[in-house]
Amino acid sequence: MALNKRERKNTELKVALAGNPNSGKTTMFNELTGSRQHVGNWPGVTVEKKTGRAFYQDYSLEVIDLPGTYSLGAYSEDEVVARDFLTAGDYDVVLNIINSANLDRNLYFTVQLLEMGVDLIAVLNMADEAEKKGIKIDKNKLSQLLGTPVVETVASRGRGIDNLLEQTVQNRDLSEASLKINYGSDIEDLISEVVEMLKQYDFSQQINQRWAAVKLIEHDPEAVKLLEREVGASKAKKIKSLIAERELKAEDDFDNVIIDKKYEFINKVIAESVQRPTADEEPENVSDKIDAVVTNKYLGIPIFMAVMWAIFKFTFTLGDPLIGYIETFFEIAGGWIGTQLLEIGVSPLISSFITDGIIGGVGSVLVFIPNIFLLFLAIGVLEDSGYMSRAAYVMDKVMSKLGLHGKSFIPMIVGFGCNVPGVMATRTLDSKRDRIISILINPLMSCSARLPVYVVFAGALFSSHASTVVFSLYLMGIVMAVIMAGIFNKILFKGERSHFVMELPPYRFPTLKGVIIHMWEKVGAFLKKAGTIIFSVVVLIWVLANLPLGVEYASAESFIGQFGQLVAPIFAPLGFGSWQAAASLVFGILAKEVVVGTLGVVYAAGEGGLRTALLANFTPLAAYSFLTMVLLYTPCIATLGAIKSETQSWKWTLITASYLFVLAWITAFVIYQGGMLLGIGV
Amino acid sequence: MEAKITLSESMEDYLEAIFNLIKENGSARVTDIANSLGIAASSVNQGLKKLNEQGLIKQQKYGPIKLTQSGVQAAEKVNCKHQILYLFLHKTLGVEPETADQDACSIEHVLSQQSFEKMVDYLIENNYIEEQNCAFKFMENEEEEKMAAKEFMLDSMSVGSKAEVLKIESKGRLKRKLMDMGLNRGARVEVKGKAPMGDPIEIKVRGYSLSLRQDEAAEILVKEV
Ligand SMILES: Nc1nc2c(ncn2[C@@H]2O[C@H](COP(=O)(O)OP(=O)(O)OP(=O)(O)O)[C@@H](O)[C@H]2O)c(=O)[nH]1
Ligand SMILES: [Mg+2]
Repeated sequence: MALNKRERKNTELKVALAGNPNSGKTTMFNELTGSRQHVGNWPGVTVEKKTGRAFYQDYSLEVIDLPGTYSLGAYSEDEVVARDFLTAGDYDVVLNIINSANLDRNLYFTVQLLEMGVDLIAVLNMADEAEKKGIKIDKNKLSQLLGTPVVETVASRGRGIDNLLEQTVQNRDLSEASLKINYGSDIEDLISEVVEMLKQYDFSQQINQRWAAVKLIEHDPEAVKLLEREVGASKAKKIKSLIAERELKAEDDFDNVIIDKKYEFINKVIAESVQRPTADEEPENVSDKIDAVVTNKYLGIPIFMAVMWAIFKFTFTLGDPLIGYIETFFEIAGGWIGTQLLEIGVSPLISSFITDGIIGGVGSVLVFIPNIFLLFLAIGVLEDSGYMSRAAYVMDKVMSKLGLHGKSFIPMIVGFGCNVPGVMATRTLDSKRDRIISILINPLMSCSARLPVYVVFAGALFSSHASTVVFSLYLMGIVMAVIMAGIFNKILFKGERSHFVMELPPYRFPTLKGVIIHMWEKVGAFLKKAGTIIFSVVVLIWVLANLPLGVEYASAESFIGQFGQLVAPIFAPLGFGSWQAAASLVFGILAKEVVVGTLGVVYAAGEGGLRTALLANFTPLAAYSFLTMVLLYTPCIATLGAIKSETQSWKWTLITASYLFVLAWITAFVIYQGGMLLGIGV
Repeated sequence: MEAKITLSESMEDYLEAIFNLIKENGSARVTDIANSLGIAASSVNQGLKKLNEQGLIKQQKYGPIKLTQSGVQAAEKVNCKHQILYLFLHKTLGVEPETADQDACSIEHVLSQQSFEKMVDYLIENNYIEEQNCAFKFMENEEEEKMAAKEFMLDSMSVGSKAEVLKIESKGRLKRKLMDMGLNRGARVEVKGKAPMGDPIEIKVRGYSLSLRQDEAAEILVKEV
């Protein structure tokens, strides 16, 4: 297609990956560019455009990974991203990633692109799965019927990539001819007339006129908007009336006919180029068998609960002993380094910076690497297995009773890892209203950054019930999310009717590579965060704890102490009115791990260990109240940033920041004062 | 029509007996039923309980037994089959009246609708029955039922059944979305399962699994295949 294609050097190509959701685009992208973008076995993993570079022979390819979409109709935000990119036409070749095991529906999108005149290579990905299903595709025949090159690949195992690159660079200038489907005499006549009118009205030559005509005839809202922009409202009206007039006389709605004809065309193509086993030869479908159990009427919800519980248990129980070792290591290291530094005559100030500041602050956060590691391992397996869509499916009824959508469960589960991708994952929700509510409650999903805070407190104060206490916090987050969703549902604008038309992908065995990549990515991100934000904040706090000059380190008279005292009265009714607690909460908004880091610095935890300090400063009740606050209060700035960019509104961002603070305060108040009255944990 | 329930042979016998007793005496009591069927009163009570559960009879404690509207229909139908069988055996094959009556009694329970209709056709052709015969009622009804049974909405399909899409009755974006997902005219669908609480449902279409809420499924017209 020749739409505003930029002049590029001969050896430079701009290549876009497009296709149905979950067809393996991102897997292919990673394979081509060596990136490590998020891959998962459910539709809608990628929600934004990602760019990378691939090199082949002398060529340099700019590769763009797009969100998946079933058609150019675009219903949700992520689909809009893909549609806008594809219709703008700023690329040389589209690699249309197709799930070979599901040709019918995948080709429907291919046909739409071909009709538009896009230069594309049909990439028959997941060839392994097609083979397993006994589907045999005659590539040459298919290529001939579609009028475009066809390549077979298995992206997840890197098979066929070289061939694909070869085809890509060879076919950078494909024929200009677009695919023509015969829509029957009524519509064909109308198409000719509309094309004639478009020519007459000087409709942009950049756009394939026949394609535009077909889009107008099927009442595509975007095409209508485009027409109005191009030729003005009055001329657009003439074309629209002509179409409406004809449609009145026709037997069936034109859009029905057009879609039917597309599928008819596809059926013909498939009949000529694909051999499929008959119904009784078909190998048995394992996914259906698993589904019969997992989404069972009685077992579905209990299984869902069990899965959540198992993830939690896995993360917490397995991680706990490991934390102990690392903690001991940091304590011993802190003490040893401290004495060594003093012995070699380093000034006490620098020694304090290293032991109190760095080891006490950053160290107390790094201790939690095992948990983070395990949590993301579990989420990775869950995401790759195909269960995510089933969780949405099983929970949809319950969720819709609460005014939410089954699909909102996916951002919620993602949110257990981190709220930023959680908030972004709401893009796949079609209804704006579902989306806003899901964004507003996402911070209530206890993210991995809060885990260190729970673990350190639980270990110090609730040793025998540590796991129960932490689990109760996760549960509290979910319960609060449900309650708040119910409330927002009542008070928010009434939205359009939502639906639950969603593909359930086949179960796949999580690939070791996929899970490990996912896990390393996240652990790497955690380490990076520890080295940047957390480190800087900790240094800042250490400095504030040493100023004004000559003040006793981390005393109430230090800057941080004074600042903490200023804020502390707000939290006094909640049982933790100390300036240390107050300061840690305020700085915790920068990143939730900082709560632990700050406490580590101000309690000079390098030598004694943070747990000992907490035991001395918190009653169990006050600690639980504090944890409730950490769970529920204002999300970190990164999450607030994501909310701002996703909602495009300061209003929703401020509402989230403040409602959560109020909710946290009230809940902690009730817990603390209630506990005091009943005399629990005082 | 209501009579979708398939009754067991003995249930049909009970119904018939009650129907005949009411016609003859104006009422049916347990002892009368037991007598006419030649079985013990205690078994009759059990049978009545079942009929009651299926909404075919109404029985006040110790009071007379009454047929509900659907009960009357079901009984009439059994009765009618009996008549037709009797006529067919007796008039066309020349079976002795008593034997014909007895045989009709046993065949009536297993007689298919098709055989029933063919017999009626044959009897009409040879002028053995007249216009007002009971058979006409049941032939028409069956036809209507069949018409109705062939086309229905996707949400009324049970798990494991297959159908072909005739029409999407939704409007606007939802309709487009459904059709984009491959649910257009001619697509074969199979209901794979239902989520807890019966909603949403999972269907197979064009070789992949798709979930839909009942509300959405209720707007998809399908035809049994
Ligand atoms: N068996 C098999 N699985 C594959 C292949 N390519 C990708 N997958 C798996 O398919 C799933 C989806 O892959 P993604 O790359 O996330 O798909 P996507 O097209 O980017 O999906 P969206 O971002 O949701 O549109 C993952 O579980 C992959 O491991 C393949 O060639 N064969
Ligand atoms: Mg992707």
